[in-house]
Amino acid sequence: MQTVSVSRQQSGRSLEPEEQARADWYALLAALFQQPPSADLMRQIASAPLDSSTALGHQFSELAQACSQMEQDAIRQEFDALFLGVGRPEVFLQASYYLTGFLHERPLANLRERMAGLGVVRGSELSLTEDHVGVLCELMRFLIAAENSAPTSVAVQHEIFNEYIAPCFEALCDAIERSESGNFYRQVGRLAKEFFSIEQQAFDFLV
Amino acid sequence: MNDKKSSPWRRNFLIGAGTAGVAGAAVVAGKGFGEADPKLAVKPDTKGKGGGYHVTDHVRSYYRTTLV
Repeated sequence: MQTVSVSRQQSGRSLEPEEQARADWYALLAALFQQPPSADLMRQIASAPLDSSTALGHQFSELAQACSQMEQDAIRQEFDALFLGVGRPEVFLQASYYLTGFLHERPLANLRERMAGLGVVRGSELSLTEDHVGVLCELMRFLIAAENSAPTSVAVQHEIFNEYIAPCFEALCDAIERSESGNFYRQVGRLAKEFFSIEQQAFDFLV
Repeated sequence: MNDKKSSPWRRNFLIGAGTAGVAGAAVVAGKGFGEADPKLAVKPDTKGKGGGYHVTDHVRSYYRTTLV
C-alpha cells in the first residue's frame, strides 16, 4: 500500500514546542489513517508515557491500550474491512464524500489547485487522493514543519483545515464510531476527533 | 492574521497531553514510510528556465498525427 509522507530530513526548522507537538499529532494520525500500523508503531504507542489527565491524553491512553492488547493482523483486517472494502467501504476517508456525498468531486479539484498554488507536489507512487484524511494530515504536518515549504503561516494552515478537515472530521469520526467493523480504529477515530476539535478551537481563537 | 500573536496552542494545555508519547510515535510513523522518497515536497521553481511549454510524450504524439 502506497503511503504519503514527508521526509523528516526536511523538518530542519526550529519549531516551538507547541508546533512540534501539532506536527507530531498530525504525523501519527496520517500514519494510522493511511495504512494499518506497523508492529514497530504499535509497540511505540503501547510503550509511550501516558497522561490521562486531559481528554486528548485519555484518548491516546486508550489507543495505547488497544495497541498493547490487539494483534497486528487483526488490525490490518479491520482496516481493510472499514476503509477498503470491495465496491463501497464501510467508512469513507475522503473529504469529498462528506462535503458532497460523492468522491472525486470539486473539493478534490480545489484542493489540488490549492496545493499547486502552494507549490506542494506529491510523489509519483501516491495512490491515495489528496482529500484522503491521511493525506490531509500529512499536508498539515508538512505546512507546520517542513523547512522548505511554501508559506507555512498559520493563516495557510487555517485555510486548509477550515476547508477540508473542519467540515468533515466529526462525520468521519462518527462513522467510524458507528461502524460494525471498528474496534482499534474506533479508538483512532476518538483520538482524531479530540485532536481536530482542539485544532478547531485554536484556529477559531485566531479569528 | 498575525502569526506573531501568542500561539493559541500555548493557551490550550490539551495540546501538551501525551506529547512525549506522540513524539516517539511520530518518529516511528515517519520511518515506516522511508525517508528516501518524500511523497510531499515543494516543487522546484522553474521560472525563467523555460518552464512553460516543453515537449512531452503527449505533444510528440500530437505532432506525429499532424504529419502528412
